[in-house]
Amino acid sequence: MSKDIVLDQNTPWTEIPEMLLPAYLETWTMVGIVMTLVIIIGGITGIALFNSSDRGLFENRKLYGALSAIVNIGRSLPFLVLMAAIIPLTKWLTGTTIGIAAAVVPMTIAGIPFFARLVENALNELPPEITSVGRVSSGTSLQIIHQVQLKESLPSLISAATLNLIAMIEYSAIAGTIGAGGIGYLAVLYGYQRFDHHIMIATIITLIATIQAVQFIGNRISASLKHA
Amino acid sequence: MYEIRNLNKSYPLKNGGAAQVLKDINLSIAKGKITAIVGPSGSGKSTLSKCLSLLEYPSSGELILDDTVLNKLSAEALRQQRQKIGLIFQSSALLKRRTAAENIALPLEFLGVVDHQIKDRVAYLLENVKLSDRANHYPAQLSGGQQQRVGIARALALQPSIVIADEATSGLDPDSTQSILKLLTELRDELGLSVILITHEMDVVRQIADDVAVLSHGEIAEQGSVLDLILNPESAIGAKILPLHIPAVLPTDHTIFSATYSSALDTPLNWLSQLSIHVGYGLDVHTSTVEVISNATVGKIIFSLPDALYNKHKTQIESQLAKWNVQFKVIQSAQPCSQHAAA
Repeated sequence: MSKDIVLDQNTPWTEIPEMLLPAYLETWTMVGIVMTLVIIIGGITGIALFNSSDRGLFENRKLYGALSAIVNIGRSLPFLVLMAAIIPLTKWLTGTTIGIAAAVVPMTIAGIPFFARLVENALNELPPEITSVGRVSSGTSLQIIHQVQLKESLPSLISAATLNLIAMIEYSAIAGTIGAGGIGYLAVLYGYQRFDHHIMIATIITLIATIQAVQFIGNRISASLKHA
Repeated sequence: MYEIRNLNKSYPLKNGGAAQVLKDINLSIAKGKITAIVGPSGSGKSTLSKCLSLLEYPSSGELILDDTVLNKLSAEALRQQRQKIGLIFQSSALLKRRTAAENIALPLEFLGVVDHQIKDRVAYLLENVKLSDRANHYPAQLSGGQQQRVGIARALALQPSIVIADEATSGLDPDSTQSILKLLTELRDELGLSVILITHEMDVVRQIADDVAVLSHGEIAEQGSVLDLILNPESAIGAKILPLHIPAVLPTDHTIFSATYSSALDTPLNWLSQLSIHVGYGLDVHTSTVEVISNATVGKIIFSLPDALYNKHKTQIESQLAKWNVQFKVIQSAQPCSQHAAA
């Protein structure tokens, strides 16, 4: 009579937090760095897109066409393909092709055009005469962009940033496949490659809870800024 | 005085051509008067409004305000000159995330006016538009009429000499419209502002405009004082501003007159009863309209008397009407129709 030897490949539940927590912090580190860059560069690009359009402060069809084309190219590639395609750039910029630093480059490059388009859309939602209000009120271009365009569209911009943040959390998980660290890496390394269901379940629950919380907080902030 | 000289505006078309929207516009906006610019949709009113407020540059021509050619200025110099022109938008265009007071303060903040001066000026403007009790309300908490008053206060923030109201009462209920029109006349009378009223509403023109210019297919078709145009039987806009509908049924054995008169021409307002006494017959009034326009009583009337009486007193009637400066036209007569006008 033979006895089956059962090897439990699952990490015990009690050990999950000590594995998950550092990975979760890594995820937020990645996402934090990326979002900072995306909001600055993508925000400026989105503002330039809107203001070079026929509704903006300095209509310039050629500039708009060029920016729009660049944004479209950036948004055409699936993240996984983009990540692989720009490995030489990533290595040149960070000196490595793995780890958090290496993941930040493709995530930022993917996030910028996405956020730029979201910012442009948020500004397009403003009533068409809003920019004219700034101009007839003797505002400088910077005053109009800051005091009128951005402040008026702040609730939409918060929603846009929330959407972008969620996309970046998703991208960070995908970046886990190139050993970027974070809970995506944990899920791939343990959950996928070692069939560790506990880790898989824990990362899924953590991701769902995170996305729900981010969306909830984003919605609340956006709603609190509206006066309509 | 705001002078618009030989203004043309065209937009490039994709086929390389150009669509000319405004053609050789010449206008003088008199100080302390309300000048209405009227015209149907597509006549170029909006484009003219944008050119007048320098939101768009004319393709050629000059916009001269206080001896300065505005459209030849550098961007920075123009930004300073803009203070002289306030713009009231059709939709009020308030910033939704700013309170009424903060909306009015916007132009002052842009110019770097110190906080306590902003506060004083905003309080004064809110008082002027009778919204002091709504200072901290957001636009969503205000009615359409109240929003428009905030828009007017904002347009006045930088103490302009000209205010352009672009369809400022379109979409407002009758009460709100009346309060906005009253406010605009107060601005003219108390602050001596020149108001340019872009509108398609003849009621508005009749009620508050001093001068009117008619835009048709991008050109000025008629312009002049509202009173002169109403009193001019040839004026199409005069007939629209103070319309008189001729009744479908009129007595066939009567001579029918259409007459226009105004206290501005020293016509005695009881001329009709005086005429009745002259001919010894109570003249029949079929329809009439009387309005006060530019502080003058202006009336249009259709009246008649039997053919036999007319033939008997023809010379007397015509000389009396001419003496009273009543412009009249015989629109139905036993004899061929004739047209007469006061000298």
